[in-house]
Amino acid sequence: MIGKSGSGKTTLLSLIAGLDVSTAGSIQLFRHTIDHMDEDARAELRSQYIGFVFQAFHLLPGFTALENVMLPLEIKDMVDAETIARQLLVRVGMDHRLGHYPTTLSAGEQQRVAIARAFSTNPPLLLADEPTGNLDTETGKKMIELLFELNQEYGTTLILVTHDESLTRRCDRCFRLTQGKLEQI
Amino acid sequence: MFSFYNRLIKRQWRLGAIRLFCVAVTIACAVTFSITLLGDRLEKLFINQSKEVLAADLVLDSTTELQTQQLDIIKQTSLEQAITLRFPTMANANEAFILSSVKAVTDNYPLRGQLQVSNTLYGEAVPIGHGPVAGEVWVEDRIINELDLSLGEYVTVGERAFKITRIVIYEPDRGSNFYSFTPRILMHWDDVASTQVIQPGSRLRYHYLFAGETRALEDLKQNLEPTLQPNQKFETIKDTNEAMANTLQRAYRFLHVTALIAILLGAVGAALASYQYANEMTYQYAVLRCLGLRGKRLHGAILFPFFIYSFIAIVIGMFLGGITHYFILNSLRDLIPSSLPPPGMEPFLLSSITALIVVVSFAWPFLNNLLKTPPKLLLNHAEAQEQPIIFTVTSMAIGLSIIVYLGTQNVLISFYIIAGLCAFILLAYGLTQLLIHWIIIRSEMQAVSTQLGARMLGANRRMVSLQIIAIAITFFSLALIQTLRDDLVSSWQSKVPENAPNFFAINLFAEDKLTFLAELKQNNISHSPLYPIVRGRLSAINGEPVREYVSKEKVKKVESLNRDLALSWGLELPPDNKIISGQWHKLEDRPKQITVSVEEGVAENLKINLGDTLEFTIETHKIEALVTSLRSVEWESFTPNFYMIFYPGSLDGLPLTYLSSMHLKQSQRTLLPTFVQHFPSVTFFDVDFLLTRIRGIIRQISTAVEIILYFSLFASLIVFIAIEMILRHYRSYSVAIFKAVGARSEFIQKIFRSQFIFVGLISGVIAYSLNLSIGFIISTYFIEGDYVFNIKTAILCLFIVPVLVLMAGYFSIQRVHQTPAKQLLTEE
Repeated sequence: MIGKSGSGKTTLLSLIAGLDVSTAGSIQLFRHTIDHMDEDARAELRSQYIGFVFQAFHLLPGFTALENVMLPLEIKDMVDAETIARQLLVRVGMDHRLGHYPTTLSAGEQQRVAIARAFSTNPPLLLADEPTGNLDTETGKKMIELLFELNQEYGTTLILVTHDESLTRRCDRCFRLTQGKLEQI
Repeated sequence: MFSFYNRLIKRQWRLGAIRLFCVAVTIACAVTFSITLLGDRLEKLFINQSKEVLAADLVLDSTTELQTQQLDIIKQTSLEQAITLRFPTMANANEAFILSSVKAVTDNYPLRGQLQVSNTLYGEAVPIGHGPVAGEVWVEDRIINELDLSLGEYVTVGERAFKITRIVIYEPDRGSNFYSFTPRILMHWDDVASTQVIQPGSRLRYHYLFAGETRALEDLKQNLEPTLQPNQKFETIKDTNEAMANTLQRAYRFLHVTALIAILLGAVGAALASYQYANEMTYQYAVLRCLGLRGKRLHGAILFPFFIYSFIAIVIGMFLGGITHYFILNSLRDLIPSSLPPPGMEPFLLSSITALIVVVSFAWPFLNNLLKTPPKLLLNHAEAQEQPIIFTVTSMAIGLSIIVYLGTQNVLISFYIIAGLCAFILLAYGLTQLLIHWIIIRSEMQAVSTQLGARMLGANRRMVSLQIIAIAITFFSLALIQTLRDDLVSSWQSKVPENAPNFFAINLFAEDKLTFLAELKQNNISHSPLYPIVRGRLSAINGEPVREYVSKEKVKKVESLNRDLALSWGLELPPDNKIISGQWHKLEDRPKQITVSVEEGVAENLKINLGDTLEFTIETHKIEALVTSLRSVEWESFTPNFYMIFYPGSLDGLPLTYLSSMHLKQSQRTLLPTFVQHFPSVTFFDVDFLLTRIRGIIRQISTAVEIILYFSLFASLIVFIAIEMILRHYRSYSVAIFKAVGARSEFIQKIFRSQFIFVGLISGVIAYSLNLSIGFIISTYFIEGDYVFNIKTAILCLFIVPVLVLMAGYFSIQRVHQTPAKQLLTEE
């Protein structure tokens, strides 16, 4: 999904994730109509179906890289949270930084951890909000590679919001959002 | 599920803010616990002691021996009986003298409770059910030390030497030894006469002790009551205990008010730490929501660790408070007995409640705000919803009021404290604003780094002001304690002229008067005139008994009513006295009626006016006198002063003694033994000794206060660090921008250095100026002495405070300094 700043990309992503509620119309997510759900029900739906990668990474500062990845698994009370998290961090090339806190990681490393966290619960839908926005070009490219690789491996539906039109070539379907209107390109 | 919370608890400990919050709550709890524990144990001490404080079931207190009629009534009772007689006198040995309080007791004393004695100096206390046998005395260890004696040696009281056979450690009817200036000499009743100290007019206190069946006690009380003279009264447990309790309670209340400063600073620290904690947790909360955590579990994830940490802080606080209370007890060791009763539940409850109030009313508003964080904040960087300020302020105001009320247990005092605190904060805030403004203007002529430092101060004016007020309030308190301890006593002493009397001689009998004056003259000792004294009680005002004339509440406050007054007469107005209304009597007046001049303080308390008729009871005589003048008296002048001065001749025929004050030079002190030998009935009060004792007491109480103030110091450090944490965001951003535009590290350090020096200087100047003004007010209006400049407080406020702030500030920005600009900007 591409579009100019202020066109409503992030708002649409918030609506899909149930982080925000629509003022008109209806949103169906995995056969659930989320408009009439309360905050808790939407949260439950998110924990089952949705993973996130944010532009600002949003790793928890008091948590190590490993603990950040374990968090969604712990929320689901999974007993092998640590094993899964370790495997994922190895997969994203962060096996040497497991015990490090976000402040001691570079921006690229933080995004790797954030990607590992997003895939940890193997969600059917992954929402990525400008995942390369805070990264330099080179690191950004590597991140996109990683995201697409994992997307393939986990068979996830990825909704990617970006400014980078070159990325559209790697996506199955592309949409442009202009003044609140979505059109396929 | 619990393992999930456990992991969160462990992980959240890594956040600086939660650690700071815990320390703040710990301080508030430790201070409350130490103070309430101390109060509780002291109160229990009074209750316990009151059970045996009379050494009997019923005590009749009298300043004279009982009359025949009364003795006849007593003879008829089947109750156990004992008599004690107390009087002050000089004891001597090895040519040294000490003012002592002699207590002569009959064989069966004490009727209730036991004496504790030791057979060696500082030996083990042994309970014993009787007093010394005739010819022997038991003394307090101070007598042994001051007179350089040992057990088995002799001490002279009046005309007789007594063998010291035991050390008195505890007397059941002495209660707390608080304010006991004079050490005890316990002797047998039969030995009193041989000392020849007791003469008509001597200052005596008889206690007639009774014990036995309640019915018989009541009968006796009923039979004796109609015969009681104004100088006689039954002592109840409540009466005996109340005076002691009140004195220590005042000191304790002062300590408690000081503790409130530490508790409130702790509360402010907790509030700021919670604010920062909520800031740090905002994204964590949004992430958890985004990841699907919901309902009670989501709230639990935020609140459970918070409350667990609060609980741990309370437990640690109590532990530290327990230790602190031992330090306070140790610092007050001369004023209270060494072993106190164990505490009850109240201190535990009060400190937990105080800590919970700190958590709920100071920290909760910020956490509550956190729970309203929308998860979409992660996507569109929306600002978290701000809690309406009115909710936060109301919550804190309620918390503050409850904490102050719990501390004082008095609505009016709480009101004064809160009002005083608000006034202090407003004043300090105003001063801070002025000084920041002044610094910004003045810095325009200075180096660029100084200018920037000053401007950054202005940019965070609100937070910086809070930081400054917290530091100023702590150091102001520390400096004031220093001033009170060092200056005020010296100032009071400096008011006393060089040749002011340093000895008082009381109980001089009329027949010794001329010899006494001759001896003074012979030895070239300067002295005041000899004032005649008749001991009597004020019994009625305008025909109405005093106790009915004024309200009961007031009577308690008028000390003069609770004891015999020294009534004097003379034609010359004493040098420090001033007539404020009416006419001082002159020889030619020759009034038809007896006239009296009354001291203004007593007149005000008892509502005595010119023209009123006062009735005095002197032993069995009653005298009526017309009030013809009211006088102001300088009590601190160390010259003899009187509440009541009569027209000469008014008290003729009544038992009289003389009082004088004199100045003994250091070299003349050696004359004292001869004086005591020649005039055994005279009691010499060494004023220097009393001053040393008073200074000792002030020092001990101020040490206790200081211990509490160290907590304030620590709490204010917490406030400082919490504010630095809140400002770190701003500081990091500023450093990044400075670095980005090419500023070198050294330059940035200079900016921060000047900023911290400004904060330290403003705090120090505010603390010092408030200390100066309040110290000045106290010395001018309360002790009427000259204000003494104290170099220590000046150094503390104007030098140590800026240095400490600079060090703390420097430490707090180290991480920001060392981080590369790119990373700082990315963190944004």
